Amino acid sequence: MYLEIGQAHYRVAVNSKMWKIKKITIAAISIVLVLLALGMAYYGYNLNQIEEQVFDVPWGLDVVGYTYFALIATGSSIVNSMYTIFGYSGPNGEYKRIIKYGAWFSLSTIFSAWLLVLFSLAKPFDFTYIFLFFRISSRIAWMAALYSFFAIMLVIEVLYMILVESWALLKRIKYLELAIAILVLIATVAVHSNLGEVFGSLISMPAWYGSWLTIYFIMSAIMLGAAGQSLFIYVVKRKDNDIKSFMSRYFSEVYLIIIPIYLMYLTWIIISAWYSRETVWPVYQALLFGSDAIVFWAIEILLGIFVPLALSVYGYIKKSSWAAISAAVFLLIGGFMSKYSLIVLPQELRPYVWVTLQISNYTYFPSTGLILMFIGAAVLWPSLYALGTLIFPLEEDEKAKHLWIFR
Amino acid sequence: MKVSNQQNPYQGFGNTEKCKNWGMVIKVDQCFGCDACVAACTLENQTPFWEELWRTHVEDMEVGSYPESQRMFVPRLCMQCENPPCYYVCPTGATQIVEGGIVVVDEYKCIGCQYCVEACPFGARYMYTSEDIEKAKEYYGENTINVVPHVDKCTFCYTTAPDGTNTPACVRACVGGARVFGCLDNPNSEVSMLFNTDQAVQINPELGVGAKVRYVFGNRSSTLQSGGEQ
Repeated sequence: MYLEIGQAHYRVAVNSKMWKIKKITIAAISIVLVLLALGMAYYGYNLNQIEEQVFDVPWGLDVVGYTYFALIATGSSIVNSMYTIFGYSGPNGEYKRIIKYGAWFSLSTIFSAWLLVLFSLAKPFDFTYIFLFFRISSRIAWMAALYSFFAIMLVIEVLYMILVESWALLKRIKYLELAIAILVLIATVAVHSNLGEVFGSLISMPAWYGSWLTIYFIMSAIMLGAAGQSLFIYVVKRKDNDIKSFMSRYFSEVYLIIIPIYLMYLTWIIISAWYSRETVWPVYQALLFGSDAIVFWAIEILLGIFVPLALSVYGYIKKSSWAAISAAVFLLIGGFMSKYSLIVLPQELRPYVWVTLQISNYTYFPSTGLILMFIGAAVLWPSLYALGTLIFPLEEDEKAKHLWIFR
Repeated sequence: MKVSNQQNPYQGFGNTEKCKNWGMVIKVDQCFGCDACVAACTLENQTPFWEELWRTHVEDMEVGSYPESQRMFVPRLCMQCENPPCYYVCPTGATQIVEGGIVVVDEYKCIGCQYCVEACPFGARYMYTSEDIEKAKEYYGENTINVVPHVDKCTFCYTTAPDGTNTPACVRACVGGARVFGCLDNPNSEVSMLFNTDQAVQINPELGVGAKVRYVFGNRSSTLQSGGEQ
């Protein structure tokens, strides 16, 4: 009997040691990948400076990538607000068990967006001029300010979620958690509104012009944020059947609500374009029937909307994890392509009246530097998230053991 | 013959406050597409011609359909708008409106986000990259006027013209006299007289930017003057 107890203790000790080694290995790989991603993005930036420039499309893959990651980060925050503001915690409090992972997901995703937007500048290290010589009428200046505010609020939210487990004092401050969550949501909506106006206020680009982009971005953000979050949290919680079951149902529900609204809005945008100025319709014509039609119908609509919709129905009814995860993957792919079309296509065609109606016919392909920058940001995204899940106490009721915030 | 400042319609152009509104009128009929203005501007402002990027260029246009089609050469440049969209979108204040109502770019303040390039409804801006600066040294020598990467545009030769000539390089070089430049506030100047006639039209007036470069299409179709299709 003593021998059996001894063997059990030995097995626990070995398992614990193995788990520690595994964690250290993952952390080391994550750190290496983070550094690799930063290096790759910086190399891409430098390469982009000496490569042949694509002058016809000043905002290319870098701005598409920035918008994409910004939407995922902010959309994830909107999804989190279901718990942090509206108090929905799932049938058995499952949401409470993943909310810290959700908040960290939003925060870690911002860095990929920042990396891209920083290196999209010709002089990235002069970005401080935006704050030093802030021009109040500039949407990009406001983007920098609001995005910083959003990031600061997210840092506060994540810190609060971690510190509240150890510091009883924080729990005693009434409504602090709610106040932080409301500020995060306000920042999120403000970022979206401004992002929409970055494009929508340009009279030079009729295909972007208008306030409709803000609503479009908010809906896209919810779709992408929910998809990204579910995918990343699933990887961490893949062995927890309760959470998997909850996530399948919850995220399928989110998709089932938002996808039809998005589809309806998209249809309205296209119908509006049909009745709009002669400088708007050519862009949508190319999207629907022209050069980009295959991408639009096959990837953005079929793969990015109808397949996830069908998978969500299945995932919701059967509580199927693989269906919800597949829906998330397709939503992320379709969402990326739709942002690519939205940003690049109007620049490729750039229909405008200059003495007569002129439509350019430029085919954009990103430079190697831009592709490397995007890959860098894409690698940074999961690496930073993985690193955070290993060093921060993100489990329910988990207390920090080192330096107040670390495991 | 030396022209005194009193008689010179371009007096005080450059870094002075003598005129609040400099402007230009382009007589399309008198442009025959020799591109002398483009060459002069390229040399004066060291623009990256190897990328086919210009502060001004001449568009060779064919409008209408046979047998009523017309060919015309339309010089293009920054419209020096009164309400320039590029000014309002610049996040760092690099785009400025200096005395004389001229829109310029402070290349040191410009961070190269290219928001102004997107915002300009006339496609008058482009990015002067670090690669272009290196290339410029090969073509124009070591003392290039463009030192750091920035967005570049026509400034009516604001920074280069006050060398005594007082006129933008394109105006000086124009063989047909198609470009008329001067102070819009002076009612006796040729540019002012042309500018204030019905003949001088703005491109896309519905944008409300208040362009200070106008076009006289002369015998061309009146529908073209409003920027519409023939």
